[in-house]
Amino acid sequence: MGCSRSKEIQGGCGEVTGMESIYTALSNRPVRDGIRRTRENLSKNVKENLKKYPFLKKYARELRDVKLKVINDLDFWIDRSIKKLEENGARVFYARDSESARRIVAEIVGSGKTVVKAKSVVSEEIGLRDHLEDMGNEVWETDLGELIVQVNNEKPMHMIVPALHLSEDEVIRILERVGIKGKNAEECTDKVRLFLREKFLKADFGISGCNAFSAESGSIFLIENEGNIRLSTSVPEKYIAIVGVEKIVPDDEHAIKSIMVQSAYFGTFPPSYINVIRNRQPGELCVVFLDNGRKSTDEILKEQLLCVRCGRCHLECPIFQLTGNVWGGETYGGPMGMGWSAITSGISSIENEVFLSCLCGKCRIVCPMEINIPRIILHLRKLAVRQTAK
Amino acid sequence: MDLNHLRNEIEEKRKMVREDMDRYIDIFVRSLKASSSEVEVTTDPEVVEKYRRDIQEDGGNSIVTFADSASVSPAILFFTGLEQEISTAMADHHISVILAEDIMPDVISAYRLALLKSIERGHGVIFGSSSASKTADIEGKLVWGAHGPKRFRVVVVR
Amino acid sequence: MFRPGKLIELLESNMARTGNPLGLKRSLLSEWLRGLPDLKGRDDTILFTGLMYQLTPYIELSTKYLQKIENSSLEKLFYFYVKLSKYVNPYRFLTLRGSDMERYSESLRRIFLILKKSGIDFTYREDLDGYSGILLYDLGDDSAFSSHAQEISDLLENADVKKIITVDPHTTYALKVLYPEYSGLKVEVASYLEILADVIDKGRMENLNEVVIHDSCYYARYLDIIEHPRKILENMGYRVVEPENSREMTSCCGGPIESISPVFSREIAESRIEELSSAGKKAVTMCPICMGNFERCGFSTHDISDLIFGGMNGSEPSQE
Ligand code: SF4
Repeated sequence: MGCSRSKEIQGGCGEVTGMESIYTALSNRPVRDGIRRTRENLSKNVKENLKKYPFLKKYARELRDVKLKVINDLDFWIDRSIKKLEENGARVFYARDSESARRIVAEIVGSGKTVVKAKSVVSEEIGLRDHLEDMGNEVWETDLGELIVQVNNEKPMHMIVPALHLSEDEVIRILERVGIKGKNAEECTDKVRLFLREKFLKADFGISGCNAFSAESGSIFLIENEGNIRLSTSVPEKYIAIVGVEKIVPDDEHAIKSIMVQSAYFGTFPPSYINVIRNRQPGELCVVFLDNGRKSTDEILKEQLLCVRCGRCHLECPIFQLTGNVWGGETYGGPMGMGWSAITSGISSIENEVFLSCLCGKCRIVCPMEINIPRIILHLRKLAVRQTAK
Repeated sequence: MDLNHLRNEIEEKRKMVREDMDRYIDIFVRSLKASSSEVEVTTDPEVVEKYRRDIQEDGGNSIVTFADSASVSPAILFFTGLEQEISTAMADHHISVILAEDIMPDVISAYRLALLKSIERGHGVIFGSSSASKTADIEGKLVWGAHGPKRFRVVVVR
Repeated sequence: MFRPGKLIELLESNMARTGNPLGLKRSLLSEWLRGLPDLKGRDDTILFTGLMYQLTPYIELSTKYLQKIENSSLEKLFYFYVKLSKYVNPYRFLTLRGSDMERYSESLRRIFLILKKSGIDFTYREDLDGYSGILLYDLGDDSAFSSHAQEISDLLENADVKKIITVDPHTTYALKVLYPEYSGLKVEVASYLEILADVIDKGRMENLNEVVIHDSCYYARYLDIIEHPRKILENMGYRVVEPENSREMTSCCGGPIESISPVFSREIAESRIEELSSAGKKAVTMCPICMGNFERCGFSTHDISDLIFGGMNGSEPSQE
């Protein structure tokens, strides 16, 4: 039995490097406290939402089947979506990887422009903000939490609650750097509102991601609570949406179901605002579909594409609870971040991180899409081990 | 999209609500209150004019709009049109009038009714609101009026 | 965080030498048999310990050492030790207190006795018992796991075993779910808790005590063994208290990553300990890894077998 391998195995694959940051995160109490606070608030809401609106569970199950169908036939659905958008008069682009996505958006925007951004994980994935800034544009994150993180020059600590690790006092000090002076959360929020109003009004471009895309009508569906997405997608004359191809669902009905499920499982339901954009007349609508590894996943990893990005698995994960988004790849952290990082940046981006999971399986239980995340993590371990054994 | 089919479907739902209007309105009102919105039910069609006058006198940044549809629970009001979207997003106080007959039994049919109207009017955007704008991004503290309206008031006209 | 590849190397080399992941002498793993009555019964039904109870005190012992060097330059010591493990038994250098070992032995003995007392007919054969290989599987070392699974499956099938009784969640998962897939094992596998839930009747004792239940991740989420321990405990007269996060929402004890990162494992244990201890004074576990990791972090729990045994004999288990 056993030791058939003659070559010495080094690390998961190679040395365990880049893992120092998780120890730094571990000693950073506010991360933990912030996650705990967020979890306590939201978990309670999720439970109540599901009890009050029993149809949500039905939606989630149905959505899983429908999304699976789309993911198994992505080319067909991408094609159909592009045709519909062109019919509606939109400019449509297709980006194979993050570099080409950056290039496409940069070409549309040019330089010397003002850009307002809705919080979008997919734009983090392609490193869009930095790129547009490097091209000489003024780029503003307009989600309050994301703006704080932008000004503080750090990575969002959670997909949906980016600044959960910062205290009110810290936020006050951070915002002062861009001249926003408030004495507490309420004042800061109000000052940010005024500060960004001016940016919205002078912006040449609005950019957002997409929570769900309907191939039937060619519409982009977005949900939010603050109202910044509504402003970003409507006020500037030109609007660019970046759509991960896995966001496509066949019709408007399932797009609505998808955003309902996403917000309910995150913990704010109903969302304050729903925005559905079919065309932008007057003005211009540009849609960039992004592949970046999504179309070439293996059978096990593919399940991660069902994800509606509700952020539930993060908050319930024992490792994420200690480290926040530090445990993961460049963009995607936490349980879903293992699969997502592997899909979008390759397995080497999380070859050590995958070994830190307990495989305790809570993520699978809480996931509305019933994604078998521990199976994905285990699969990535196997790939990492096999890679080194070669 | 088969518009006639859509119209028939909506008629069916309308009938369903009409037969049990009191109960539907009651649930609708409670759902809105749960999202901290202000609600008022009236049979006076003049009420809209009254609000318009109030706003003009008030001079503040308020807006009165007609919703195109609404779902009963969770209560979400749908509207169409880019111009209207911008002006409601910019307002401090959004007063929204909904005719009882446009209240639909679920979110999907409410969306469909708005979709139908948007197609008929040639509007490219549909938007829904269920409360005032809010955020909890700073230490989990709930603050109203992040980027959008600080107050959201719904007037149901029977 | 220790290099997963190094851990795998260590496991593989220990298993090649001794069949168990720590490279322990077989005699140490048979300690628990001391004083047990006749081990023979119906020979197509066997008790399979999977060695987890026996290994746990040694795992905890090494974790205590590893914890001290994690994330420091001393981590190298461990890699040196991995090299050494091919030639010598590392536990020559580590000594375990007899009492630490005894707790786990005692639990196993009690499981044996409870089953016998409940009228379950089975045999225990040392030569048919072994480690399941689950750690190899967890670390993604599929090829080593699969050849080990094959070896154990052949052993069991050649002995004409028809039914296997397991005692811990990890071994249960390996034999019940993974072996059929990896090595085509066709033998019926059941955890002793599943078996007892069917045979222990109501009302042996009243008002024994309140116990806070800590579900094991594997039982609750991978094997759907949630009601069984509750039914047993309640029928024994215990009042089962649900902590925050229980049943399929149970929180991890941190044990599964104690070899990759003792530090993280400990933090996770501590937050679970907080949940358990705020629900009541006495907590019950049903997995030696959970019990061991909690113990390492200064929190004593009762193995469920000890409570059942105590209930059967009309006494509370001693509060050590
Ligand atoms: S994996 Fe599941 S729980 Fe996690 S973010 Fe995606 S949908 Fe939500």
